This record gives sequence, structure tokens and C-alpha cells, in this order.
Amino acid sequence: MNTRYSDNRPLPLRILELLGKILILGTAGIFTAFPFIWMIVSSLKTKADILNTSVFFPPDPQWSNITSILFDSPIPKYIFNSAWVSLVIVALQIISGAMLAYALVFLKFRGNKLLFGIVMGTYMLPVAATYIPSYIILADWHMLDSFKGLIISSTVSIFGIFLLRQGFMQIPKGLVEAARMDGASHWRALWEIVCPMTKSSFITFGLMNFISTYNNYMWPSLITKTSNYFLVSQGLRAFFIRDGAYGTEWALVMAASAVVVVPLLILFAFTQKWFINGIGGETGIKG
Amino acid sequence: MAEIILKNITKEYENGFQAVKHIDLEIKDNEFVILVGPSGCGKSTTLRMIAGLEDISEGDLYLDGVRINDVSPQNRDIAMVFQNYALYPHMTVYQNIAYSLRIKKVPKDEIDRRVKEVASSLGLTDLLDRKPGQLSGGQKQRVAMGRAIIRHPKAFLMDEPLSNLDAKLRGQMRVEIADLYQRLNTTFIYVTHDQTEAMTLGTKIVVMRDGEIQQTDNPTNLFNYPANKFVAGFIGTPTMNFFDAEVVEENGQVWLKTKDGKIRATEEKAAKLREGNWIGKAVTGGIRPEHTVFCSEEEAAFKGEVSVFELLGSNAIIYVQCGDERIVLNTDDTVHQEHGKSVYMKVKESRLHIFDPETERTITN
Amino acid sequence: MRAKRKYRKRYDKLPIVLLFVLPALIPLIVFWIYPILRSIWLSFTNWDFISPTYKIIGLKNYQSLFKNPRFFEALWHTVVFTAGTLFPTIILGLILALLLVKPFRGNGILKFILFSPWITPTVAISIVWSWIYKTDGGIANTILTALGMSPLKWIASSDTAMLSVIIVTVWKSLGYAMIFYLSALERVPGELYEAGALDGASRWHQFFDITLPSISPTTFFLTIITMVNSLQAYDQIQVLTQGGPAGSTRTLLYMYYQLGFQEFNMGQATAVAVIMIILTAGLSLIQFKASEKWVHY
Repeated sequence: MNTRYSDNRPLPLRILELLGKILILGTAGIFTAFPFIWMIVSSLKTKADILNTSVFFPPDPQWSNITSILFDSPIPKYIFNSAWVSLVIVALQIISGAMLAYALVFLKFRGNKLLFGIVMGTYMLPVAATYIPSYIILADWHMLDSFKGLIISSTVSIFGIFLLRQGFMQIPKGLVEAARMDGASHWRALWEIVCPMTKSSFITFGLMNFISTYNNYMWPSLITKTSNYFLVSQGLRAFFIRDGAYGTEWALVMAASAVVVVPLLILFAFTQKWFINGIGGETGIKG
Repeated sequence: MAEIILKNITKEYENGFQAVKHIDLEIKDNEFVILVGPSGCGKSTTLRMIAGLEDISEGDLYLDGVRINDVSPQNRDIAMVFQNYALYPHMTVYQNIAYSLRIKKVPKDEIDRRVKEVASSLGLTDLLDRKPGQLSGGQKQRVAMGRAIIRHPKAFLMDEPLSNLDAKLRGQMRVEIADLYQRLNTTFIYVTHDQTEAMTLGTKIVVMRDGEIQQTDNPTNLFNYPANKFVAGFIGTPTMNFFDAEVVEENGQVWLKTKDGKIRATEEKAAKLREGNWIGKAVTGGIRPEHTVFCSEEEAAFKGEVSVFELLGSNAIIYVQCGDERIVLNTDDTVHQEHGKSVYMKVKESRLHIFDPETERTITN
Repeated sequence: MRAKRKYRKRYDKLPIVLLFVLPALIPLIVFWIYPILRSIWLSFTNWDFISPTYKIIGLKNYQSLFKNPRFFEALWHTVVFTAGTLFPTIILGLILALLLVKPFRGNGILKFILFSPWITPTVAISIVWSWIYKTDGGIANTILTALGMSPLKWIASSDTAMLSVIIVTVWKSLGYAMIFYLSALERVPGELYEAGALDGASRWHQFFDITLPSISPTTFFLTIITMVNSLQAYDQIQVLTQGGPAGSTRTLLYMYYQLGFQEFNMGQATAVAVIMIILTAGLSLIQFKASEKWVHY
């Protein structure tokens, strides 16, 4: 990649190109980062300052905005709800997904191809189209407005099955056979041989699905009505539109958003490469 | 310590292809059995059925008298060495070797003792902390064997274990496997397409082709008394020479008349030919290159011109073109190593093989 | 005897297969496959969610949808929204990836920034954007004024609401397209460029003759996935505009939500869902067919 061609074009042209590059990347970077920065600076402003857009930085940082969100609002509870529900869901998705992917790749049985076809067929279908019947099912099971309902309706991740299957297919079949000959059951072969060898797929799966479950809005907002069961997106929106806040308490709303977003950005800073792996590698397109 | 019996075993795939067709095989305790044949002959499939890695479509498989068709590989107590070694890349050599014992919940200190014992017997002691990625091919091979040995299994299965090694290492490992067999006193079943490995290692060789067993015998008999033309051609290098001939009887003597001359059948063979009503009929003759010699014009069964010769030190392989047939000699005769030279050849009569041209079965064993 | 044994053999591993398959298959059936089928069934009924009984009314739901200008409006908005997010996302994503593919100082931090919107909750950032878009005292208008342009009403006007939603969506998905392109560009074999350089290809030609064809499967995949995502966009619409003003940001999905969960017209709602299923299935089919052909080197 680094020695693609020797650049022997005239110097002015190269400088011009460099400037263009800096301009484009700089603009894109600022455009992308700006809402985050604006969110953070706004969250520290007073009610009066926040309406005066000519002042960028808060003249008198209101740390109390943040502390009131952290200690006197339901936001931390929503974050906690989102975090543990997502952890449980992702754990279930990893177990069910890994087992199905193992069956698809390493077990020989009738209907293997059909099963893969079914999974493949549901991959791109609009999940929203399932919401009405799923809602009815949860209503019948008396699981609306509960964590149970949230969790039980999300125990399988088709994306995850694809990702793991992709990873498992890289493993020589002989390794699983060797483990079987060594006396390992399929269950042990999956978790002691296959899983450690496809660790990066598992991590990518876990992180990507954790984030998307954590951020999920539409489905949780349809089935939970009591604020006790709100995940963070729904909770944040409730906070945003609750009586009076809309339009008047922008600083607090921004503080709440910041409290939700900043930890995710920090998590992302440390785990970026796994997301990039997942996106680059998920499709199996060689190109 | 195991006796393995295959009864009428068949492997049929979903598309109807039969990889293994109704084979019977008895493997006695402490035998070193080689399954040998060209690729696609079903030898690996047979081994994998014994291992439990392939379903058996039909027939019965017994291990020490117990039918094990439906026993999963993890419960068969059979160890296997794979062609690509199949070492667990995320585990150290130590962990690789110890894995099966860990599964069996053997106490830690016993695992430790046994791993170290096996490692020292295979010269792996210094490598125990390495990962497979840091090992050479020969070292990986040893680890794969160590992983099998440590279990004291009822039988060892080996699937082309040496085919990924270079020629020199292959020879060395062959000796080590032979040595291992002497020490372990266990049943070995070994798949290879390499007849040298088959002949040097096996106490019993099973030659397979197209999913069928061609012949089961010890190396000497296999070499001297091949059951059919395929086995005759498969065992031995260079390959046996085959030629068309007609059986004739002259003056109370039975002869094989070749294109350029004739070969006398020994008393024993003559009797068999008479018995089978072969007089006057066409047969296929076979003679190994080492049993073909140069001679004078009068004695000759074949004549032709030297086309290629390969000097191998004390002896040479000489290829002689006889019309559209080719006769190969393995000889220490250095006189005739000259391209294009006209030569005459005869065969050692006692070493002549005669096959039915239709069925390709040996007539005279 | 023979047939019998084969029969048994086939099901020999069944317990272990079931053990491995069912934990995913049961939820898949209950919460994916069955609901899809049930949706199709409901779209032929007049169920209103409350009444215990309902009638099969055949294609009536579809007929009234096709007579309803609101539906075509929503369909049109979906097309506008899809096209409006697709082209900027793909083109800007590719440009950014091309500029970032060669490592330089600050490369990593830029990638981090550009990708970060993708992992943050759409709801949270949509709230931030609605603050940015605020008609009086919003920073967007402050910037426009500073640049000498006249302020816009953004999400408060039906003229600009769709544009506003599109900007947020592009802002959020740009990094995803960029990362996707980056990994595709890294996989273009270097020899291709060396060969190109030897052939005297200019950089412009290198781009059009080597780079672009090499990443065409990625472009295609991204196109499909962006379209499928646009078809399903909900969070930002719900927070920013709730489909308004005057229905100007009501897409098919949002119409489905309103019909089903606000008006409880389940028959009509599921009919919209079926139309969305058909649209996405069509896109996936194209993707699937093309990926067979398109993996061409």
C-alpha cells in the first residue's frame, strides 16, 4: 500500500493536493465532531448563556448540570437498565449464535443447507415488519412492559450467526475432529477449540451487538411503557419531551445526552479495532 | 490393545456415490495395518469411519467385540494423527498433549508426569512452552504423535501422517514410527498412498481401489504374489512391466509367446495354466523391472531400443521402447546405458506373473 | 434390512444437532419467521387490535392503500430519503477512505472521529441535532448567518425537514461507509498498481481503471445496505420531526408505526409492512444475485 507509485509530479501540484486533502479531511472532521463538542459545551451553560449562540465556550461552566443528571435524574437508571439488559441479551445471542454457527459449519445433518437458507433469508428483512406480531406474542405471554419481554424477544442475532459462521469456516475441520478424537464433546470443541481460535469474531460480535442493543430505540419503546423499564434511548427521549423540558431546559437535556454519549465514546476509543474488523470482514465480499 | 473388525462396511454419500463398498477387514490386536491405494480409493474414508468421524452407511464395525457404529468418536478411545497435524494453535505444546487427559479429568500431577514422559520420549521437552506456530514440520508431527500416545488408546489411526514432510524428514519419521510401534505394542492403522511407507511399516497391508479391497496380505506376499494386476502395478518401483502374450504348449512345455519371443512357464505355473484351460488363449504377463535382464538375441522375449536411463549409483533404471510398449529394467548392467542402443531382454521365469486380461486377476498364484 | 438401517442412520445425530440448532432456531421462528408470516396474514384482515374477532377482507387493505395519497406521499418520501442519504454517504465515504488509506499522523484520530457517530445512540444525537437546528438561537442558523446566508427553518418547515433528517442520517452513517471502503481499499492487491504504473497509467486512470472496479462489490453492497437501512430509519424521524411537519418526513416505516401503534389499524399497517418486506426482499435478492457474479477477481 505505501509504495504504490513514485510521485514525480511537479511540487506546486503536490502542495495543492496536500492542501485539498487537509481541507476536505478537516471539514469532515469538524462537521462530524461538532455536534459532540456543541453538546458538551452546551451542557455546561446556564439557561441564559445557552440561548446566546455567539458565546461558544461556557463563560461560567455549570458542572451542576452534570451532577444533577448523574444524581437527581433517572438517566443513570436508564443507563444501568440498558447496560445489564444488553449484557444479558448479548450473552444469549453469543451462545445461541455460536451453537448454530457450529452446527452449520461442523455438523453434518439433513437440512443444513436449508437452515442456512432460512437464516440467510431473514438477514436483510426489515425487522420492523415483525413488530406487530411480536408485540402480540409478548402481550399473550404477559411480557409487555418488562425486562423479560425485552430479553426474550432478542435472544438471537442473525448478524452474529453470519459473523461467527464466517470465522468458523476459516478453521480447518481437522481441528474439531482432532478434539473429538481427543475425547471432547461438540460442546467442548466449540468453547475450547473453536471459540479461542475465533476470539476476534466473538469480540466483534459482542461489542457490535452490545452497542446496538444498548442504543436500540424503536422496539423497546413499543413494548415498555413504565419508566422503570426504559432503556437509555427511550429514557432520554422521555427526558427530552417531559413537560417543560422541551425548549426550556436545553442545558439539562444536553447534559443528559452527554452523560449517555460520552461513556460510549470512551468505550469506543478502546475497542475501535473490533468494530472496524466487524464491518470490514462481516460481508465476506472479497474485494 | 484392540481388535477391530469391519463387516460389510459401506460408505455412501447423499448423492449416491459409494466411497467404500462392502469391505470386510479383520485387524488383530497389535497389528500394524496399512491402508494403501491411489487417491480416492476410500482408504481415508475407511479410516475415518473407524475413527467415528464419518457415519457408516451400511455394515458393522466392532471394537473388541462391541459394535461401535453409533458410538461417537469421543467415546471410542481411539487416537488419531492427522495429515495436517491438527494441533490446536492457541495452546502450547504442553496443553496440546495434555488436552485429552484434561477432558478425562486426570489429576493434574499425573497429567504433568505423563506429558513430560511422552515429551522426553519424543524429544519435545524443550518445546513444551511453544505454540504450534513456532514449530517446524517435523516437530509438529512429533507433537501430533505425542498427543495420541499419551492417551494409551486402544488403537492409533494415522492419516497420511508424513505426507507434509520433505523426503529426508519423511524417512527419519518413518523409522521413528516403526520404533514407536515396537515400543507401544498397540494396534496401528495407517493410511498412505506411498507404497514405500506401506512396505516398510506394515505387518499387514490392505490395498484398496475404488472403494474395494484388492488384497490384504503381509508385505512379502503382496510383493511376490499380487492378487491382481492392479496390486502388482501398485506395489514396487519402478512399476511392474505388463505385456500381452499368448499361452502355447509345445513339446509338453507351456510357453508365453510374446511379440518378440517366448517365455517358459515354470512347472507350477504351467500346471495352473493347464488347469484353468488357458492354453491357446491371450493373457497379460507381468514382470518387475528388477527381474528383467538383458540377454542375447536367441534368448530374448523382448527387443527394443534404450530410450532413457537413470543412474542411481550401484544400479540403473533403463527404459526400453519396444514398439509401442515400454519395458523398464532395474539392473546393475552398465553396458547398455546408451541412448538408442538396440537391446534384447528376457525375464526371470520364476518371477513371472500371469493375469487374466478380462478380470485382471492373477492366474498363477 | 438395508433400508431400515439407513433410515435410522440419518437421524442418528439428531439429538446433538437439535441441541445446537434449537437455541437459535426457536427464537428465530417465534420472533422472526412466524411474525413475518403472521404480518402477511394480518394484512388480509381488518383487525383493529382491540376487537377479539376480525374478518378476512382480501386485498382491501392494499386497495385502500393504493387509493390513499398519504401512502404515495410516504413512498415518495422514502425514495427521497433513501436517495438523499445514499449518494452522499457512498460518495463522501469513498472520498474520505481514499484520503485516509495511506497512513499519516492523525490518521487514527480522524478515523475515530468520523466513525464515532455510528456507535452513539441515534436518539441522543438526534436530540443534539434538534438543538442545533433550533430556528431561533440554534447554532446552525448562527453559522448560516455568519456565512452571509439566510437562516433556514430546518425541522420546523416542511420544505427543509427532510433535508434536516437526511443530514443527520448522513452524518451518522458516513463513518460506516468510510470504514467499509477502507478495508476494501486495503485489499486491492498492490501489484495491480505496480502493473498500472508500469503501463504509465495516470493517477486519474489508476483510480477509474483499477481502484473503482476493484471495489465495485463493496460499493454495491454498501448501496444495498444503505438502502435497507434508510427504509428502516425510525429513531431520528421520531425524535426530530415525528413524520412532520405536515407529513413531510413520513416514510413508509413511519407510516407503518403510525398506522399500527397509534391508529391500531393493524390490517393497513401490516399491508405497509408487507410492501416493505417485498422492497427489501427485492433489494436482498439483487444483492445476492449480484454477489454471485460480482466476486470477480
